[in-house]
Amino acid sequence: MSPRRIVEEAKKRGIHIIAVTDHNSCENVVYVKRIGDRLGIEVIPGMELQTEEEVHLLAYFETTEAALSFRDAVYPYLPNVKNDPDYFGDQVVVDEDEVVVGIEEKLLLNSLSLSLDECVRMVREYKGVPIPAHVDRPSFGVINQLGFIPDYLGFEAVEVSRSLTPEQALARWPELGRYAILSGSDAHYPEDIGAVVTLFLMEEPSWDGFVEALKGRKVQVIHRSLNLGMGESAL
Amino acid sequence: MQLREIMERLGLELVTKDVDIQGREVVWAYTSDLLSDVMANAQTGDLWCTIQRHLNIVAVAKLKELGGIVLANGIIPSEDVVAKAAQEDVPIFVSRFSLFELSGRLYELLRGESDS
Repeated sequence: MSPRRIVEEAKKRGIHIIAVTDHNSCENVVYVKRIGDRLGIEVIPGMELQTEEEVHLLAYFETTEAALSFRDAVYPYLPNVKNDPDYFGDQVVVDEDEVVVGIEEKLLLNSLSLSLDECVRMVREYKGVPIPAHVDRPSFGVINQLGFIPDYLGFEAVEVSRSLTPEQALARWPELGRYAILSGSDAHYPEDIGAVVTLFLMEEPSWDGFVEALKGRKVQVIHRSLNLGMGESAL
Repeated sequence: MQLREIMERLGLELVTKDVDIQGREVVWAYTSDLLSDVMANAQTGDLWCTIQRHLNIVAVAKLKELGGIVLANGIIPSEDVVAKAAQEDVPIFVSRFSLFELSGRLYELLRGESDS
């Protein structure tokens, strides 16, 4: 899953927009974005935060700079525990020429010592969009961890895992009806890219289009179909 | 057992000063940090031991009509949580014990009571 491979696979599969959301980290986005710019794929910089309640929260930003500043702001809240590559693998940063340009020493899979509420507030402070990740999942999903999604956090959208459709999620948790429901491949291997996509109705693939589509709930989740029509973009 | 007696015997601190615990009793307790699990498995009236400090704990305690919340590890809840708990009449205590030790001590207390 090098930056180059991710963008090439996305392009091959007719995807116009991808988001990269590494766990508690985002340095790889810099290189994915460079290749995306070259190949005409819009890359939304993001992170997947693990809050102190062990809730996974996706954070999307307009620019790489915003994502990196946000990352710098939350990094001190990551416990000072060293990664053991024998157990968890190397935490590498790979550039556009597939060269390892950095290794993260702190263990990224830990929880930040920030609550969900604090994380949401901080994401918005950096002009980002916070979206609870895989809310259906029995581990790290907000519903399992916190019983229900706090209303006052005012999310525009939630993400469901690829193991169920939005319709199935709605049947089980009708309260999700108040949010735009997104899904994606959550690809950890190149062959998974595009297995599930979300169509966003927008003029052209862009950050503004992404935000507008979220707010207007002009989104549609598609499982295992990559025949995208004109004027639609997939994340 | 009276909440006040539990509080005294385990050295708990009542952080919701405005919640009057006089005369309130609990017979059993439940320990968990996953709120979905508490909603599914805690019994009405249970005293709930947890290290979960998110505001949702108040709503879950209210919904399940729990006898109160004990935060272990000396975790102090935020002002929001205390205010919400006061409003919902849910007592919150803080214990310096770990969840394991708190649960063990509470089990001994409540078991002795239910045997007698």
